[in-house]
Amino acid sequence: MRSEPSAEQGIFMSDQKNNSKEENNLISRFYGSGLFLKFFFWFWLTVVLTGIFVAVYGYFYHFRPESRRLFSMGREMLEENGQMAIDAYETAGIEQALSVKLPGAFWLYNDQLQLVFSPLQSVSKKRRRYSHPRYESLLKSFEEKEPEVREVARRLFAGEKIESTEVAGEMLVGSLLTSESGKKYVIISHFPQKMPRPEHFIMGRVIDTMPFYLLITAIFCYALSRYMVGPIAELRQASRDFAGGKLDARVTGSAIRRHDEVGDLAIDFNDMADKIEQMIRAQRRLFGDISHELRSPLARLQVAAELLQKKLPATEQPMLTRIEKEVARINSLIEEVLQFSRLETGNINEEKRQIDLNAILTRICNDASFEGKARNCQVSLKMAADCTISGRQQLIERAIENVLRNAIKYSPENSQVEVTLSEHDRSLVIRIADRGPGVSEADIGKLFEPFYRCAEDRNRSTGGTGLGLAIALHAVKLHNGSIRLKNRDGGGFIAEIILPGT
Amino acid sequence: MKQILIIDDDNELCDLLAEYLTSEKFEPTCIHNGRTGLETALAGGFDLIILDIMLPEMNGLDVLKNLRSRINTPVIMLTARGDEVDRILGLELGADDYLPKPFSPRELIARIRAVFRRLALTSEENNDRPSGRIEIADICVDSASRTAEKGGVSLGLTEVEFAILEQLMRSAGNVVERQILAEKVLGRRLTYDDRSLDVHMSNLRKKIGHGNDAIRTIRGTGYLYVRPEK
Repeated sequence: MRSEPSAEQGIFMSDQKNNSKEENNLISRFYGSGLFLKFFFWFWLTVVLTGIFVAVYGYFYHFRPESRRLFSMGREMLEENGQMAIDAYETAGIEQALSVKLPGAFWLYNDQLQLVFSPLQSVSKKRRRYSHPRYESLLKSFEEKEPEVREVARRLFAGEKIESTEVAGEMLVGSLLTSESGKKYVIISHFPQKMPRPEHFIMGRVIDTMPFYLLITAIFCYALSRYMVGPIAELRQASRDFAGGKLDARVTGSAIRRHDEVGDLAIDFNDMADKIEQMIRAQRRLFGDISHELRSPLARLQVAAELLQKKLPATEQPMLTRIEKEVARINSLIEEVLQFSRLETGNINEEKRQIDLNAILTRICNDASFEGKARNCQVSLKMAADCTISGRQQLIERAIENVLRNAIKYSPENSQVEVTLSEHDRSLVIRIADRGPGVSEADIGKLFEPFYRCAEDRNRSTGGTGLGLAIALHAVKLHNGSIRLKNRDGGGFIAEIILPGT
Repeated sequence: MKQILIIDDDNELCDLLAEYLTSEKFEPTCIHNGRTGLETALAGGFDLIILDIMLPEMNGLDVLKNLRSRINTPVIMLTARGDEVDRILGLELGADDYLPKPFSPRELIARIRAVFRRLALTSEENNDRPSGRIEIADICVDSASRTAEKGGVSLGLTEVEFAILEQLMRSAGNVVERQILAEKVLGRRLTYDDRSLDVHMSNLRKKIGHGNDAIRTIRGTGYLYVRPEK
């Protein structure tokens, strides 16, 4: 038998497809195919945006007014202290003025823009408190920046309103004061570093705590998403199994124990599945029961027909032969319907055991070539592998027979049906290739439907019940296998029964 | 004329069958329930019993079990079509053959004749070989008493199982073709999807013992009883 590379490739390619499908399944098992990620990111985004909103809102509606209030309080204090300082200066001279306990360092200018006392002087009496090296360097830098401060003072004397200015990285606040004698002075002080400033708030607090904030929210969002999506994934698995024909698939995990909407949904799903299962089982049973009940009258009909045959003259025989033929047809139809119904309801009596595929194929092919002889149609068998599998022999035999009989039925006279057994990736492939008319691509998928016949087939009376392939597929599926159908290059049809090896 | 007992609860079918059997020169009696059927069968005088599985009062399989514990009248079971379990159980309990229902009466007649033919064949052989006792390793078949023993213990084989074992042991070391074996032990050739020989064979193997691979299946041809190497 010649090999057909296209077919081999077909198998290989579809196996690869299966692999990537499996990977997808793996991902979706962990992340619920996107739902988990969606939940997670949207929750997280919401939490992060809320955090940012709260920060901005707090800044504009709480922090800024608050800092303004502090600022004006500072200014009031400065003006009070400044007043005290200039009063002491005018009445008792600079020494006395310096002895007045003034908080903080400040510059005091008289109306000639002369520095009455510098920050250094203003803190000289409180040296101890300001002996911190950082403060000293600050004072030094103030001395260097004195011209800038003087400029601020000048502007204040000129009547300019200055909220604050920045010099040497410190915020300066100045105020125009009038002494008791009516002289004008300008006092300028710096706000202590601890004074919260907007830049600190945004740059310091928010940015510094951001990673921590993101981590914490991410953890919580992760937990929440799992909590929400976990049961949905469970539900999804159950409904998928159910749709895949596992009528006993139910939600059994944590979802069912939750007392919330998702839990209710799980319970509802199970209720629905129960009802559908009942309905389907009832329908399938009906299918079988009807066929079963048909048998008694049919058995009588058959006996009656043959009795009649004995009594009738030879001229009437063809009609009786016809009746017998039709009875036989109904018989095999009933048998197939029952078999199908049994397979569908999972009512399998046969036990699994080790079966010799080579022996089965040899026997089936022998029988089939005997059948094919009438039409000069040969069956060739080629077995590349020596295989035993664990399975139910009668079902496997039935599956192979049904497919092979189809092939012979559609084969033209003087043609060959090629049967090969080979091994591909730990699967056994029984390939049955004929030179028949093939099937239009659109119909291939429908071939497994019970009683489906393609249009051309209905016109020709090829016999058969229309259940053969459906039975074969069910039987093979029970062994976790599959059947692949395709048209053959150069005319004909190929059916591949794929059984997982042991 | 051969007496045939039909035990089936379908009255009309029984009537028709009786008529058909009469036309084929048999003498049928019809009983419509299991218990009476068993009693009638045990009362004796029948050459063959046709037994339906689905019966009121007493299941066909129970009837068969009771029957086999006392008499050896050949039994043809009527099983539901495609119901493998009934078929296997029936043959295991000692039915000589089975026929899935609905069946062609012609097929039934053929089966009945086959059973009679086999009986005639074995009795002929018995006459030919009055001391037909074969012993290979620890298995021993006695054609006269129609019993098989393994290490002195009776294997409790049914008629057909005994016939298979006897045939295989007689030609031990040689392959016995499936069809020839079927003709000899069932009295007929196997049709396309006839599994009855396989069922008998697997029952026989079970009874001989799983560890014993004396009976080998030769792919595509038949069976071989292996002579132990000395």
